[in-house]
Amino acid sequence: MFIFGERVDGVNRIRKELHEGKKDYIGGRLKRVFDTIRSGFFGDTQIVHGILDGLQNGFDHYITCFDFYSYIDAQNVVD
Amino acid sequence: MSFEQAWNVVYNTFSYTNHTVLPEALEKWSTDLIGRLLPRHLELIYLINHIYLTKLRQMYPGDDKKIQRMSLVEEGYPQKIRMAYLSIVCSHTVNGVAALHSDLLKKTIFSEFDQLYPGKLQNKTNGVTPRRWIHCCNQPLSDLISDTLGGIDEWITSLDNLKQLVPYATDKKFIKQFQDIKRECKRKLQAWVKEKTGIDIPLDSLYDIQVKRIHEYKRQLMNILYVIHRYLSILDTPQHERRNKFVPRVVMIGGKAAPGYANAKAIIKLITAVSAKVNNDSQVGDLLKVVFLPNYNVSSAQIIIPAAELSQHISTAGTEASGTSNMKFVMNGGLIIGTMDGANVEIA
Repeated sequence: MFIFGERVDGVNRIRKELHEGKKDYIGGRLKRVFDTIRSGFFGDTQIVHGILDGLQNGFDHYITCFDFYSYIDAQNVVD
Repeated sequence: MSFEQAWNVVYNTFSYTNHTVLPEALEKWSTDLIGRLLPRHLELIYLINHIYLTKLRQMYPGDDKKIQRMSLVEEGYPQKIRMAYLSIVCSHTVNGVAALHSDLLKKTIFSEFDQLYPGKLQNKTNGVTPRRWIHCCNQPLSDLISDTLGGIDEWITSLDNLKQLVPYATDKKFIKQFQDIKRECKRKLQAWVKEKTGIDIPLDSLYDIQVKRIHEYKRQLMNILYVIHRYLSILDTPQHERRNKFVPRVVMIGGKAAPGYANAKAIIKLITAVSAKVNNDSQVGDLLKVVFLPNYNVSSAQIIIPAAELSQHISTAGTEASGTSNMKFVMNGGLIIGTMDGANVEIA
């Protein structure tokens, strides 16, 4: 099993930090992915732009932006 | 029958299985509605609550706030019955559906009930049947297991017997047979994908699959964001180096969204948009394919799951009560990429 990501305690800690106004957490590689989607590279995907704006601005309840990097590491191990 | 006798029958008969950790998902029914449809039931609920509150007042004298919090009746407009609390009070045991989930229940939404009724809250991890998820959906694998265990199929009803397969994990003949079966399952899925979506997927790629209801907590979005990252990384790499750097993959995502769940539908749209772009990019070719598997259900699961080499169970820790498809994939010899959530914790 390829295990990654925050445990329950880490999730709660990050949610608290987001609630307290944590900013600039998405990181370069994920920002590039967001920008690529917004540029229209995959056609008209405007329907998700609102979700991406939220993730980037503190509304990341499921901590997608935080687990993304350990997910990349786990995927590298899979390869 | 007296009320006391009736109560004992009910109490010793029923147990309550909880399926969520989210307080907003615990149902509350208005007394107005119950009173109109089930007037006698409402009378009995009030009687049960009266007896229960009398006991609470003895245990926590003067702590009116606590008693209010734990009451079966939520005061306000409209007044409501807390159905989960009613179930806890009337059942001899209460269980969550995975060890982590049961533990969270005791620490969060039911903590006061765990103190009131020590030992009543337990765990019963969800399970799936090997009859359907090996024997029925993957007959060649079922035959291989039975043949390897001396022609005996007792494992179908006593799955612990599969431990006897451990020595074969390094047996070349067994590994070859398993690989041949996996390849045949992949071939079946390849044909199914072609028929349902028109997309050609290569056989010699890693089949990477996430099938389950579409929900933000299950994070299909994180999967597709990673796929985009992978696609961009391939494009960044000079053509002649790509074969060495990237394992060819077919990423398949499938599942239904609830009718009113706009964000879930938006995520499906993003997946199909990425699929259309990547699959038609001749520069990338067979290195990466992306497929949205339509109309996911048990029938299609029986074709999809046996073909997986990697399956994704990547919910945010603390959100997936159990999850059971992780078990189905593992039964078919697929590996898991996943978070420490739900039943993953017990598989890990």
